[in-house]
Parts: sequence; structure tokens; C-alpha cells
Amino acid sequence: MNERRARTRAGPLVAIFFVLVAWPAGAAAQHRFALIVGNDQGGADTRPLRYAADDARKVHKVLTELGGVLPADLALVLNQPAAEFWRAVATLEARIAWTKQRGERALFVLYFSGHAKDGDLRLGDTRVRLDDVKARLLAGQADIRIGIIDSCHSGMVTRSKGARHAPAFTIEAAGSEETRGLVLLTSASADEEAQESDEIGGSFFSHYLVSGLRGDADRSRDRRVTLSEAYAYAYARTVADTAESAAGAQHPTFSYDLKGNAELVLTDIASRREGIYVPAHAPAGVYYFVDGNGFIAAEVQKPAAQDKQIALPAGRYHVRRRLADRLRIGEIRFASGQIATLDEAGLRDAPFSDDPVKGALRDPGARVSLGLGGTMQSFFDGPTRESLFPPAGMLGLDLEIRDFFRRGWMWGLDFASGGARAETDRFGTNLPFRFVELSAGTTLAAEWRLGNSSFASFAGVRLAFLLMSRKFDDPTIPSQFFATFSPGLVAGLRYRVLRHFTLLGRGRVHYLLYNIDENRSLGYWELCGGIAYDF
Amino acid sequence: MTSRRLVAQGLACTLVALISACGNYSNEDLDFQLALPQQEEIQAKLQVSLVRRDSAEYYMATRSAVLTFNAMIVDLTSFVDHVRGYPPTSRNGNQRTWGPFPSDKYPTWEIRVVMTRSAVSPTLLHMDYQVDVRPVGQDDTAWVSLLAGSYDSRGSARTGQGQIHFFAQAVRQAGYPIDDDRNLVDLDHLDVTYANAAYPKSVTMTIVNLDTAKTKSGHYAYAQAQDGSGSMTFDWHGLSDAGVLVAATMTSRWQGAGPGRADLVLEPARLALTLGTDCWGADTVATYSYRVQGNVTLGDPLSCVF
Repeated sequence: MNERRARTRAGPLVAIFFVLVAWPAGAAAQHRFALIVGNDQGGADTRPLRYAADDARKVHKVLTELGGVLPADLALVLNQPAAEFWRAVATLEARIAWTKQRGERALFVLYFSGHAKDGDLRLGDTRVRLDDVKARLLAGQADIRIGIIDSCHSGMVTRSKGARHAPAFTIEAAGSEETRGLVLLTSASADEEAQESDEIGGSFFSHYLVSGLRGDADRSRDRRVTLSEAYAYAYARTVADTAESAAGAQHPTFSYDLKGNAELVLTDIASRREGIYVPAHAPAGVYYFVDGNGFIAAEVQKPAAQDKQIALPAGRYHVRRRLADRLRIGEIRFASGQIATLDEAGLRDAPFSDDPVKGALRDPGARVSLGLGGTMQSFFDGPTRESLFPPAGMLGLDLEIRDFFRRGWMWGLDFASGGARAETDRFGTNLPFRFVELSAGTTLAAEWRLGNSSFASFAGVRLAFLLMSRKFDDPTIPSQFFATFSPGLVAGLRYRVLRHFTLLGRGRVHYLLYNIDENRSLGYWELCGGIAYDF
Repeated sequence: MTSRRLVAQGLACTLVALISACGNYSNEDLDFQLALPQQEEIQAKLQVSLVRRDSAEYYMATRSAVLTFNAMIVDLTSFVDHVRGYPPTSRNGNQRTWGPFPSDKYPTWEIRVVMTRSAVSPTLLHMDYQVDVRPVGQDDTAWVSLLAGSYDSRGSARTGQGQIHFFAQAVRQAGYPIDDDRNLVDLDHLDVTYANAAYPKSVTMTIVNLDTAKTKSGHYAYAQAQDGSGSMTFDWHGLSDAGVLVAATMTSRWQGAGPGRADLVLEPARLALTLGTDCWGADTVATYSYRVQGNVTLGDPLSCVF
């Protein structure tokens, strides 16, 4: 299932300074700097993103491996507030100024992945004005400044510059002078959502940007990926993959103000002779290379009769090629400094259930919530309901952990207590009693978000331990109790009303084996409403 | 091992251990508990707390008889009261069994209680029960009934009529050390009947002693009216000092507020002879008294409420 999720970041652009290298022949050596920012949280009126920080890590990795950015010249700011962002900007600006004083050329890339809304980049509960970021980029001392913003409505940042969303752009080569200026790329237009996908484990735009930078965007086949190649590739793949989504097609945008004739080379595949080579005779199609953590490390769209090379770190990768009715899967591994050639004969047919991406494990980051709710319980069987276990109201606490065992799964513990007054009639003798119930349960459920709304549905199984007792008004009748485990099914809806608060409604159906007088299979239902606080 | 795996294994172990349920939560057990006679339901109601130095002689005799009667009811019902507060050891359809338990008083003996229910209609319940004893280590054929009873509900599970039988001689012959209780050394058996579904409520107790006992038998008959008034007839059959079989009967009647009357009749050789009469007021002091011996009459016979 390709679950797509909207990034509700309104607004302005987050400047992503992505280090690209102007790599023209004969050009002076260029010192590259990058600030990579990822933040899953966007404040009270947004829902947490799943992959913003992951996307930042991927961009960080490709820039250090293939983009010529030294670790000392790169800042990775993950899930940090605005103060950390500005501190990293100031540090890199100082290093750029020092580089310029030495007479070297400098390139600065700012990449942001996260929420943006109402003209602000959201970094948790703090905000950074997009205008401020843009002004800082415009005033920057680096010869080339590249901003890449992967967030909802990020096209706002390019709109004022007359941006376009177009499949590609070409930098004019008007002379021999070295390129200078500012380029802004955004993942979506000003009125579009930027979407995430569970299948690819990231946002569409950043995923294709990274895949393109690893070599798949090398349309000129010169083993170098330029800014325009990377953009064209990311644009085409993002639009194609989001066209059928519930949120609609997502169109990346660009704007630039550059002078000079040198092509901006972002990554040099040839500089790192390490990766996977897909020979020309291999079947055409889309190849996915999945790393050991279940991430799609790279994606290659291979045309017929044309080879492809993708730069990847040494290691072992699952290979997946999707056909109409099955998968072709296999494994490829290579050591440091080696390029492995993909052998179609080494792949085998497999059903879709064996998809290495879906089956892969990754650390999703468990989320915990604590809920308070009321439950109404009633047995289906009339005589049981009327004289044995009366309908009861209960108050309870729920502790839920999401994405703990597996992404999309919820594991919960619940405790409830309640009771009712009731009476039973035995051969004409009416016996009033006070019924009390304690329950403790554990639930394992799968959750599905309903479209891009704040609603999520869930369904799963629950095992409850019930301790039921009754005390009769007649003091000569001893109190009675019954303790048992009860398996059941649970389903419900949750609706996020605020950043940390969720309204919850659920129903349960349980089986109970009553074995005191005789073995009787009973069933009961529970309806619950409550509110949960998400930590 | 990761924490996730530990948690998963813990859950799996819990799932494996989940098969059984336990408790005593039962509607049907209520039937058995409701059918057992309650002491206060079958005890005689008399204001026995009111005693004066000058209380009427026959009032004091009546009071003594009521106290003795009630004490024997307590002794009998205490056997079944022990099981009322505990869930049955086993349930088998319409039968519940408590025990066997070791006897607290005689550790070499063990006790069980078996109750059998038969519902005649949704509002009519019949119950039989028995308290058995046997030496520890014996098989089921060694059980001897110490007490047996039955009950038929009328109108509700708690109202009806029942009977209790105490088999002193049977368990004595089986070796049960019943004679450790000095009050039981002459007892052969004891029978109680009661009916509490409607007024007048009644309880009778018949005591049959061994042939060797001087007192051969005794009989109590108690009745309680709705207005709080009651009556008790208690008589004894036995040998006089002269070796003659005689029967003494005292018939007492009283109002709920306290005033009452008692007549003592002696039946030697089929000749009923009234020995005396006492009437008393709410303060238990005699308002009228007659004794045949000496033909003594005190007070006004018109003061008698009966």
C-alpha cells in the first residue's frame, strides 16, 4: 500500500542550501558548504511528519558522498528549534567569509524538510520567517547559493521571483564567466501539499532528488548530475507518482537569478567509483535498491538498451523490479571501491508480499499517548445481562504506543474500573447487589489514516483480564467474584483536535468463557469515548 | 536481546497462560444458599431479655424453654451455616458438594456437605441436603449422615417449609465421638420441621432419647403470628422417680407487647391434671397465678390476656 501523506507546511520557503558544485571545465576550485535541516514537528496546528528528518539525513549523505561537501563544512540540524537553525547559519556564513577572504569560490546549499505555514518555516514550536531566510540567502557571500525547500506550499518562496513549475530549466551560457547567483527549488507549488510515502520512506520530492543525485538523473551520461538534471528528474518523477494520489499531483517549482555560463554540477558519480551498474541489456524498468534498514537507497529508471550507473556506498542491497503481476527481486553486494554489475539472471520471481521494502524493518520512533475515557459494557445474552453481569459504566486509562513493533501498529494497555447496581431474582426472591468490575487489557491494532484528514481508523485484537464481583445487600449472602481472560476484537476512530490531543471512539466485541455453574460461551460489547494526550 | 523482543515474548507467555477462569460468581449457588434455614427464621421470638426478681414463675419456665429451643436450633444450623459462606468444592448439575474437610473438633474425622436441587417450577424449589462424616482415609462407602434436611420453597426461595434431622445414634454407632458433648449422650435423634411461607409461622422440634435415658422424649411446637404474638408448647415424656411414665406439657402464649399466659398440665396414667396457671403483664410480673397444690390463687383471672 502506497500511503501518501501530506506535509502540512504552509508557506514560505525554507531555504535549502544545497551544495552544488559549479564544475565547469577550467573553473577555479570551489569550496562547498551545506546546511541540512529536517524537522518532523511543526507546532500546535500541525500533525507530525514521519520522514522529514529522514529525508534530511539522506540529503546529507549524498552530499558528503558525492557532492564534494566536507563534513567540517556541513551542518545537520535535526528536530532542533529556530535558535539552532540561526546558530548553524551564522557558523557557516563565518566559514564562507573566511573562504572568500582566501580568494576561493564558495557554494552554499540550504536544504529544509519540514512544515511550513503562513510564511514561516516551522521548527517544532518555533518559527523562522521565510522572508528572513530568503534575505539571508540573497545577501550571502557565497558565489552560488542554492535553496531547496521540501514542504507544503513551498512554492510561495519562488512565486515572488516569477518562479515556474516546469519540467526543466536551462542555465544560459552567455559567456565564459563563472556562475554566480541564487537558485531556489521547492517541492510543491504555492497551493499544493508536499506528500510523503510510506513505501519509499520519505517525501516524493526528496526521494527523487536523492536518487537523481546518485546517478539516475544523469541524462547526459557524463557521470555528473547537474542542478538542472536533478531538478528535471525530481520534477518528472514527483509529478508522475503523485498524479493519482488523494492530495493530487505535486509540482516542484524553481526560480533562479544566476549569471555566468557554467553548468552547476551537484554530484560527480565518477568521483566515487563505487556503486551499481545496470547494463544496457538489462530489462527496462524501474529498479529499486533497498538498503539493510529497509530504506530505498536509490531508484533507477532504466530505459531500454541504455545502461545506468548509480553511486551507492559499499554494502548489500536488495534489488526490486516491479512487474505487472509479480516482483523480480534479488540481492547485490559490493565492497568499497567496487562497482557491481546487476545480473538479471540473479533475480528471481516473487509475489508482491515478498516486497523487501514493505517487509523491511526500520526504526520508526515509537510514540506514546495517555488517554482517559469512559466505557459502556453490556453482554449480548439477555438473561446474563439481566441477572448475572449487568451493563456497567466504567472509567479507564489507556496507554498506547504507536510504531513500536512495527510502523502503523499500535500496542496499548488499558485499565478500567466501574460498576452498576442490579438485582437478580431466584425463585421469587429478589436479591439486589452492587456489581463492580476491574479490567486490564492489552491491544494490538493496525492504524490507517483516512486520506489526508486528521482522522485515523484502527482495528485489531485485544486480550482483557476481567475481575468481576458483586456484593449483595443481604448480608447473609456472601460476595461473589469471577476472574478470567477474555479475547476480543477492537475497532475505532481517532481524531486529532490539537497537536497533543486526540479524541477517540472505539468499539469492542469480546468472548468470555463462563465456567462456574456450567461452561457457557458469552459475548459482550463495549463502547468507549475518550481523549488522549500524545507525548 | 532487544526490549521489543522481551516485551513480545512476555505477551506470548501471557497468552499461553490464559486458559482458565476462576471464582464463585454464580446465580445457581444462590439457590442453595437461600434454601438453607437461617437461625433467626426458625428461632422462637420472645422478649427473653426482660427478667425481674418477681417475674412470673411460668414466664421464667417459658423463657427457659425458648432459650433451650433456640440454642438447639443454633447448634443444628451451625453445620450448614459453615458452608453458606464458602463456594462449593464441586458443582455437578443440580448438586453441590462442600468438602471433604477435616473436622476441626475431631481431626481424625472429615466432613462433607452435599446439597441436591430439584426445581419443581420457576417459583417452587425443592432442596435436599446432608452433612456426612467419616474417618479420615476411608472410602465413600464409609460416609455416615450426621444431619439431613430438605426444603420446599413457597412463594420465594427463602420462604417455604423444611425439615432437619439429626442422627446422633447413627453416627455414635459408626464411632463418631458425639458423646464428647455431654448434652448429647442420651440423644437418639432429633427432628425439626418449620414452615415460614405464611403466618402463623411454625417450628417444631422433636427430641427422641435412647431407651436407657430417664427422659424419653421431648417436643417443642412454636408458632408466631403476624402481630408479633406467639405460642410454644413443650412437653416431656419420661419416667418419674417412682418409675411411672408421665408426660408434662406447658402451653405458653404471649402477645407481641409482652403479656402472656402459661398452663402446666401433667398426664400421669392418661389423666390430665392441670398443675397450675400463670398470667403476666408486659413487665413479666404475674397478674394472676393458680396452683393446684394448696389451691393457691393470686390476682385477678380477668387480667389474663388469653
